[in-house]
Amino acid sequence: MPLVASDIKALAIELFPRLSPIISFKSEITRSTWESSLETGKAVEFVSLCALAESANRLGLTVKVPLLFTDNPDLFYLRNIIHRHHGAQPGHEGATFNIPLQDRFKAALTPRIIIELPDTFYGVYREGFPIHLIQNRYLGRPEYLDRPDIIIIEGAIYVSDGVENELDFSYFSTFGNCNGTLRIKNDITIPIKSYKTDLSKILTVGIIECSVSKGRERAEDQLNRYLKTFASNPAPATLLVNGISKNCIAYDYNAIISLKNGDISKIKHELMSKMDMFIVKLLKISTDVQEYD
Amino acid sequence: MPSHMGVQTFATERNSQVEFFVHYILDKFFTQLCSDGYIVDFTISSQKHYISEIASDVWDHYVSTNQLSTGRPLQLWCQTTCYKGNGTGKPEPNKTYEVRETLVEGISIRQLSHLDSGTDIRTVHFTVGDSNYTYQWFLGMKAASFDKSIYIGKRGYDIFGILNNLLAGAFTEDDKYIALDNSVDLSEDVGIFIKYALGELTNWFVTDKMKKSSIADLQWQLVNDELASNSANWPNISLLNGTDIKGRANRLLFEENYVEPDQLIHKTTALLLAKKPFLSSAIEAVANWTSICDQLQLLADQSFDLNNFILSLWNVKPPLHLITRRILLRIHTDNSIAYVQDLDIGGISEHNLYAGEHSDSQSENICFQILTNLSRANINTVDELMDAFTKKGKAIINRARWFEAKNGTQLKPSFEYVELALQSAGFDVVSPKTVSFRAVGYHNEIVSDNVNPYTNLKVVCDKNHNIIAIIKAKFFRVQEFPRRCKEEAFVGLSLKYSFNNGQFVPRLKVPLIMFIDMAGDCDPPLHALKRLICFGWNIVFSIDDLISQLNDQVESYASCSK
Repeated sequence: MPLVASDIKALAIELFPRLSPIISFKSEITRSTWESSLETGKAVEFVSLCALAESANRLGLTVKVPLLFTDNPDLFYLRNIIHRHHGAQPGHEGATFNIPLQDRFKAALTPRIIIELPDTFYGVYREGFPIHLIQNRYLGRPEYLDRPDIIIIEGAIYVSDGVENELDFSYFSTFGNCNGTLRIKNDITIPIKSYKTDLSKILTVGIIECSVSKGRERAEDQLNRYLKTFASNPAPATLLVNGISKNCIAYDYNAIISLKNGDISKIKHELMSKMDMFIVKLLKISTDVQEYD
Repeated sequence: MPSHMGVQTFATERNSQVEFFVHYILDKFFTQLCSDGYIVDFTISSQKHYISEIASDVWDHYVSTNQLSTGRPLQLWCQTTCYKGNGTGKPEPNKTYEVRETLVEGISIRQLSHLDSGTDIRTVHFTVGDSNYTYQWFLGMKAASFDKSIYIGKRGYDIFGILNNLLAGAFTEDDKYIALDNSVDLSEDVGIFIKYALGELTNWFVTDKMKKSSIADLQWQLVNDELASNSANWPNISLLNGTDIKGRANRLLFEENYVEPDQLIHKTTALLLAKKPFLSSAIEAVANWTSICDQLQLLADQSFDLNNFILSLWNVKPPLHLITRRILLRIHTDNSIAYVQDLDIGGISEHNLYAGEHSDSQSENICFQILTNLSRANINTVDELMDAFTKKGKAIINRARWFEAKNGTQLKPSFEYVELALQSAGFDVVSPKTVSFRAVGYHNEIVSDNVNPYTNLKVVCDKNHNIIAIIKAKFFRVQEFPRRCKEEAFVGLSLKYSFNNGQFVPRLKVPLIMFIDMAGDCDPPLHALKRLICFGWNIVFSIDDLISQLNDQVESYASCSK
């Protein structure tokens, strides 16, 4: 029997119980992940995030969930993208799910999971990392639309309320720091008030793409676009979590989770074994980087 | 797929820069007031939501501060309208809707002064661009609906292009501030506009002591009175069901197996097809595309060059021209095309572009533009154009048909249906001209500029030729409900009252009725409905309710005349 979203929900809680209050929270936005068809991909993304957290746990790393989400679970379900206004919308609309703009901005900047290492942090983000976009724009590079489902970036980010309608942020990494202020505003461009940076690069250590039905060629094209936008030297560890049996060798690892045949314990085993390998490779990348310095 | 919606993105980029520009002006103004000791501290925000019983409006800017002299708080609410202008030198017709919304927002917010007498509330309107591209009556009405109106721009000057040059290269707001500061210091054009705006604001604040607009207050009074008299009778939203005339008519036109038991819907669609020949041509063309291509191939064979081919396609015998012209204007691109009036050819508008007969010079002009676009898309020969037509033409027509069935100013299935229904029930539905009713709003009496009468209104008479109501019927999509109600609100208020010797007086002896057609499952926002009612409309959602209201009117008319 094919699996449904609630099966994946139960697996997610089993893999990383600390996220259970956020997974079980009942609201319109959580329902769009856990009570919709698996075809939306949201449930698979979420369980992959839990698997990543659990893999890190097993290796003895400290894994944290930012307090922002304990207080407001809905925000965990949003993407790490600063909310923008788009043309062809009458007036200033776009407040879907009735989440205040201030909270959306905070959620956009905050990693969903933080993995602590002896001398640095990894932030795990969903579908984007605004600092990367801001830095790109600062350097005069164009906007990009392709963003991996899960992206793991070296460095720590801090977000705090500024004066009214402003949000201050700072990002510290092995490759420099940046800080700035965003204006809380529904705008077509990034509403950045001020920005200072000495970043030489932003290090992406891992990319996870989740799909319910992606073919090999499409997955490879997409990965190439991600690497072009986000990757620097050395290349990040990459993992494809795919709901159908199509391996894409461009990815370092493929977790094939068959959603159609309903064997949740097989899925758990496949997902965790590949995630364990993925995270080992990811950690190795970072160690190499320290040596380059 | 070329569409009309992409133009919105360019407009939004421009609007975003203007919003920032106005923010800068307000920041400088209030900073100066601070240093001159008029106020203590201030905060500026954008996209400030004003919510009341009858409003849910987003204001472009909002400034909140405290005045030193009186100790009273001050709130300044600001709206900005941009006029980009166009090559024809005429106002943009679509702008009428935005203008009405702006005026209604300006009137509605005046309730704040009544609700909070301890705070000074003022409104400011900024017009940016060439004010000659607005209907001139709007300029006078702005002054009558906002406490202060400011114009930034001048005739024939592309302020948006200049602003873009200044701001697009700056990444952060701090950088943008520096760019604008420089422009002021160097007395460049934008800097001069900024100084002018600051001068206007300072004059109004200091010399005129933030003078309020008395006519704006009077307009609010009208709305307040309507609010008071209707507050016991708000509609119960949970009991409302949309008639969905428009939806049902569209389905009857385009869905193969749709069954519609209401004969009036059938009559309505027949009228629609008669009024919008493109729809029936499109249905036929899509079904017989190969044969259409054969016809066009004959033309191709007779054409000696591409320009000649384009001209003959443009002027092909009706009704085929409805098809060929639409394709010619879209075939060069998959992206959005400019709005039709952006062709910048005198005498050509969205109303006559596809169907009209054009002069030789107009045809040549249009075809030249098409030729240029085609060459950018590497279509340079008759064969290449014919090939493109064959491959992409059908899809283009299909989508144009879909788009124009749902939009477009001439199709009004809701109103057609209502007229047919009223006629069946024994009423006469006539144009205002027939009964010498001049459907012009009170702004005609406030400003000295020309005001056109409202179109799309009808007068209902009983069988004794007595006028018993003025009606309008239109379809409201749920996403646009609040905006549509705002637009129509201004129509209502300005029709229901006239302005005489500095006072507003009731003008109509009969009700103004809006038949709201909407989808069956539509849940209209209550504040939007209340706004319509408070701005003078009686609203109905079904033919039965409409007829019942009209019959009440007939009875009261009959009893009055006894």
